[in-house]
Amino acid sequence: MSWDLRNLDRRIMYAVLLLALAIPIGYEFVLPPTRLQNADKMYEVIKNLDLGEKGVVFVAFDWGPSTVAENGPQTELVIEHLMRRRLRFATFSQYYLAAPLLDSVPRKIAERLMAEYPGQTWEYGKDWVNLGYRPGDSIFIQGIPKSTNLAEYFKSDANGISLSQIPLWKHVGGFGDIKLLAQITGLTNTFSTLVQFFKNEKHTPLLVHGCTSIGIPDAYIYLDSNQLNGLLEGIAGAAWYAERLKQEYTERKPDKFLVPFTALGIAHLVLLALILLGNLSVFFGTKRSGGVAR
Amino acid sequence: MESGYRSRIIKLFTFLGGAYFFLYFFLPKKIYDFEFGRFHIEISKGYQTIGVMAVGIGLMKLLSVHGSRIIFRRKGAFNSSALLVGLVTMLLLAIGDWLGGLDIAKKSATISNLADFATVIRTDYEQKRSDRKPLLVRTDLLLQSVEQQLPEISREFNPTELQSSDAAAQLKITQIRAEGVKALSSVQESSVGLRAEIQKGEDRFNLEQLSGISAALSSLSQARQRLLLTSFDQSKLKRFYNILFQGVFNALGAAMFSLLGFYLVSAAYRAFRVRSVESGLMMATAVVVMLGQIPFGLYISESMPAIRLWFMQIPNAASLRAITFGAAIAGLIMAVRMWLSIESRSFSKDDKRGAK
Repeated sequence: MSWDLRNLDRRIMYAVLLLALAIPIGYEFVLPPTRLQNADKMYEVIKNLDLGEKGVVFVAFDWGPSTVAENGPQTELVIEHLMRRRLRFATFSQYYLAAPLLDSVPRKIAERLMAEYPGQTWEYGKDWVNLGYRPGDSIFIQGIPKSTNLAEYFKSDANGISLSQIPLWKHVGGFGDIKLLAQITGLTNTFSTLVQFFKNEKHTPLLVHGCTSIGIPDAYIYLDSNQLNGLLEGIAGAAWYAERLKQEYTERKPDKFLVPFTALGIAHLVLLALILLGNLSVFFGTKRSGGVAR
Repeated sequence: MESGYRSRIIKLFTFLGGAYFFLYFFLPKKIYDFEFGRFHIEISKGYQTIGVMAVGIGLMKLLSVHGSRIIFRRKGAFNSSALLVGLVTMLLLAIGDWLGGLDIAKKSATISNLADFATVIRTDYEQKRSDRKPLLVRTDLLLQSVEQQLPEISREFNPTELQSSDAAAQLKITQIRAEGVKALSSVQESSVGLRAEIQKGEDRFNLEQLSGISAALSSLSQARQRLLLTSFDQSKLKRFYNILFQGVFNALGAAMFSLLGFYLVSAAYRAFRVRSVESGLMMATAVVVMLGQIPFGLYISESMPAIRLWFMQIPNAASLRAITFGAAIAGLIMAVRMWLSIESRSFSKDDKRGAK
């Protein structure tokens, strides 16, 4: 094991990072999140959304188990906000690994809210519908804006029940009734497909997006062009969104994901410290060895 | 000769497919009476079917590669058998889960179809449709169908029928059962009411009774669906599926992704060295962007999130837009080359230029 700072053994770095993550998680240490303007924008979009009699929100879960740490809390917060505001929504996915989550996430949130507000109910079919995994990528997405009857295009929910028999869908007509599309993803191509094709010459639904930290830079070009109306930037965006929810719904229980969020913040500091250490070791090492850097 | 013929067919279909999707996107939905995308759903299904074939081919390839490794006991046979056991187990469980869901949908649809039928009987009567059977005959048929279904549903809502060892699930089952029993008695009451209306005759028939039974049947259908879903969630198959998907696959997937964090630290330590003005700029930007989104950034400066936002909105967006435009143009050129089959030279032996 090398303790030479210019060539520090990677196992030492791994151990330091592990401790930086494990200690805050072990002690359930939570710090208040940083205010992120784009998460604020997204919050305001959902807060001020009016669906009218026929409107519906589409929520695309385009993520799987690998990005659950970031996309999981983002999706839960969006669903929770929609449910709290009693906004009807339909979930679907272009990613096959998301199929089980389309069902489990809204049910989990509904149960949590029903425990929080005894006497109130959130029911499948009345408050939300699961349209399931929809293969076909851009070909499938292109067909949605051309549809004047979404029940005919999607035919049935994930359980095979005809949409015409689902109470929520009774008033939903064509593409014009989709007022908002919220997409949460850890993939790169699914978001650009929606930006390109989820609109027609008469109607462009509001679009909000949640991405992993890696996808943040890509999303900014769509924010700048106003094609994107709000953004959750990784787990940090989710943390600020949770803070906004807490400010509005004061009785809301604290989110568990704020613990790993704080731990990740500490891990970032460790990363910065290691980068600084690496540079200092080279700087002083170069001086000592007469100008030859290793 | 034969391979040249095959090559031409592939090129023709590639061209037609490309042309169709191009025109579908750009043309309006209707040009006078001509609807270009009339068969789009069917064509999309064809596209998806071809995609599904790739899954089948992948499955066969996996079986042949790893199966032969196990049979001939080559190196890595243990890993191959683990892969195949995992594959077959998950495949069987997923098929079981899918069939279970279909069965629930089928059972729920029976009652919700009857609810819809009650509404349709009323609408048709109000619209005075002569192509339908008389009101009393249709109502009688509706009641016969309802009465056929009720014994089975009553059994399902019987307290001895479904029990769970999980206290939370048992509470949920009890609640749903109570709702179901209420809906069931409402349907029975509405049935009695409708029978009485049939006795009165068409002239004195109260149409509100049809709406009443429709609403009662909808509630019953929903309660039944929830009971069946809860019951399915308690089944061994679903529990095993959940253990494998949520307990194993989710955890493994997240663990694999989180390993990136460890590699990132190691790579950043070695590679993130300030050796020039450019690398210094990159380093400064990275530090600001990182500090701007973690809670500690605020302790350094309250402006940190705003500075980060400027970096993301201005230099980052400008450079990424340029990259995106470049990639899009390259993608367009590639798409045209593929559409015209310029890119694929190896459809047949004859076309393999330079191949030995």
